[in-house]
Amino acid sequence: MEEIQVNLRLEDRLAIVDLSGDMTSLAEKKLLAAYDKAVAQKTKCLVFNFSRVNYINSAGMSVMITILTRAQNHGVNLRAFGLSPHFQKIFDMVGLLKYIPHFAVEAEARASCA
Amino acid sequence: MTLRAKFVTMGLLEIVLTIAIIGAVIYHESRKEIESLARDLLRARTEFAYTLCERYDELYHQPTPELKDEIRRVRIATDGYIAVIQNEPVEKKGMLVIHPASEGKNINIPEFPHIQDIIQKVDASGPQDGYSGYKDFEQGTEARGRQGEQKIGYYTYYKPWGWILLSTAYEDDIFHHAETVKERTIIAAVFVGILGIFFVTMSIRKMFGPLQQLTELTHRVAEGDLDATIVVESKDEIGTLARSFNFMLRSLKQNLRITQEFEIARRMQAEMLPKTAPQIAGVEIESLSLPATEVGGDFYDFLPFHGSRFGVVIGDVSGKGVSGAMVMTGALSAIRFAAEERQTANEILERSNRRLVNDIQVNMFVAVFCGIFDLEKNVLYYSNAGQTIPLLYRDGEVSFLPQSENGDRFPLGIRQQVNFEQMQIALQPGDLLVFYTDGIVDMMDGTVEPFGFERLQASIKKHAQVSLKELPRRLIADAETYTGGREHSDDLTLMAVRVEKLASPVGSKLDVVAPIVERNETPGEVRLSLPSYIGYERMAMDAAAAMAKMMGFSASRVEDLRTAVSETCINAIEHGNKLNAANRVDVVVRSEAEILTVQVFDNGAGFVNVLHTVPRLDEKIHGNGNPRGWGLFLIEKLVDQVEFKTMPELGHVTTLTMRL
Repeated sequence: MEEIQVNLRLEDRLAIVDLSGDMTSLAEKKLLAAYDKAVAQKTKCLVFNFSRVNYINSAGMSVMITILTRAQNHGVNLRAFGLSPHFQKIFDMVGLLKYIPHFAVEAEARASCA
Repeated sequence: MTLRAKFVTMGLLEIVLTIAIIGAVIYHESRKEIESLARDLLRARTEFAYTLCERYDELYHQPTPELKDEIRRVRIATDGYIAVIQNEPVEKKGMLVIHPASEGKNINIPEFPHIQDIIQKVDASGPQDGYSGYKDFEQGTEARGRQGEQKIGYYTYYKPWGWILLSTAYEDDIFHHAETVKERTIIAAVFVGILGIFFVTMSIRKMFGPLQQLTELTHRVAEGDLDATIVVESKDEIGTLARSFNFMLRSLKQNLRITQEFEIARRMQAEMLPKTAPQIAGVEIESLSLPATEVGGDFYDFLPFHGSRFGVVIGDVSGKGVSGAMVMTGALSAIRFAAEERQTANEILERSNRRLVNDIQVNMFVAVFCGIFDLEKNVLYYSNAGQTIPLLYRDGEVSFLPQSENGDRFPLGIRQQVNFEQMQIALQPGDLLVFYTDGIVDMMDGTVEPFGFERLQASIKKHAQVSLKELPRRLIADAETYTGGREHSDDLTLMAVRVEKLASPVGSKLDVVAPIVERNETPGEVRLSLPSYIGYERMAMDAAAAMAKMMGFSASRVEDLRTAVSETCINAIEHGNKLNAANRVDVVVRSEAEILTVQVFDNGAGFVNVLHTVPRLDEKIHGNGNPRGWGLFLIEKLVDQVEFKTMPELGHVTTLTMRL
């Protein structure tokens, strides 16, 4: 099991969250901390980089739902890229893709924030 | 006296008494009224005579014959009249001046005490007007032939002529009207009485009609007609009784149906169980089964094999009554069928399990011991699927048969895949084997202490030398003595086998031979036992994925399986075992032809949600709902088939199936 690593890249009203490791319930603390930090910097669009995430379980997905609930309340847009086709399918089954549009690469995700 | 006759008598008595009381009151009151009227009449007649005397005195200064005639003509009631008695002068005192029959006769004599009384009163009061009252007296004369009849009278004194004017009348004449009232009252009473009898009889007949019907109905029911029913319209207590009776009949029919079903199940069961023990040279066999209810859940059987081999089976179904009996017959059939195809005890049980696990309902299982005696090799081969461990009496000691340490011990019908181990012991002449279900050891003495294994062992030791036919009864008798004759709540089944002589020489001690390597292992099977910590699910997931890849599943389906296995294990760890480190999660990954199954067992008592509800993301985001709860949803979406099963007191098993 590889504990999640979270790296936050803050830009003007935009933030990139680079994730690496496993998305499980253990990811909640770090992800929420990154989210809070970004929102504090007036971030309006948050982009999640899943390209180095190998495992997401239902508890990990619940962490994304918690962040989505907060983002909806704060008026923050969420984007994602780098999900494997399998996890794209899982995100779609749960309904997350409707709220967190997925892009193939970072540039596209960034562009959609504009 | 019937209830009906009692009611009629009471009703009539009430009517007659009421009428009699009312009649008596009316009669009494009318008599009083008539008496008062009569007194007024007598007084009026006397006063009339007095006025006549006054008028004649005024006109003629003496009584004239016309006056006397006029007084004589006065009639009171039927035979009443006015009599005039001379009071003065003294020499004529008591002389009747006017009288219908005895004028001129002196009645101031002791025979007429009432006349003397009047004269005495008149004289005593001197010159008074004579309104002193009236007097009843008895007419002593033969006047108008009515001697001795009671009379009443009223007198007054007309002093100028010394006349006592006395109006008298017969009481009978006066009260004649009262008597008429009396007679009419009696007639009315009789009439009302007859009417009363009629109405009372009618109402009682109406009232008692349903009772009569009920009586007839009970006779019909007693004769076996349960379709009988009573039509009731009345809403009184009898109506309620009749409705209750109809209800009772319906319940009775229902209960009878249940009893009949029980009877069918009982017969079916009796038909299935062997009636007598087989006669086999070299061994003696005896069995006894006493169901606690009409239909028990225990069973036993003898399996025929070729040569010098025969099998014994003893089992116990988790449930009694009709459903228990159904499972029992199913189990017995499955075992017999398996015994035709398989030769080892473990294979027979495994094959039976495969059939039962799909046939019997969740929460039911069958604990079975299967033993195969080989009298040529002098060995007992056996496997045990959750049944009580048989006891062996040898050389004066009683011990349990050795139990498998590597094989499964699950009862049949719980797990899809079970691997029992076949054990074996060498037999010796004089060995006594006792197979039994838990009924006898669980018999309670009214405290918390059951009869138990030690007492059963002691009992076997005590009776080891009695005839085998007698032995099961002796053991049960000991248990019953311990429980103080309490009714046993569970079925009691015992089977005893005594080895008499052996075909070939044997070892001298109890030999436990290594398990036979005939386990029905499937080549593509991987077993894992995981600790209940989150994270270990990854191992199961990887194992399942590796198996799926080997079988040729596509990469995306392998990924689907990874997620499904991971979520199933997380459920078992978190919910089934409640993260309790003492409980483990067992995972069996099997490939069979083109089917991949992953079974995840937990052995915790926790609750595993198997409700097929679809979580909604919108609700979770906007309704502040729990963001979790996706596991089951994903599992069902990602594999071809999911099956959840709860095993009472054992935990849960989830079986995931994917087809190529």
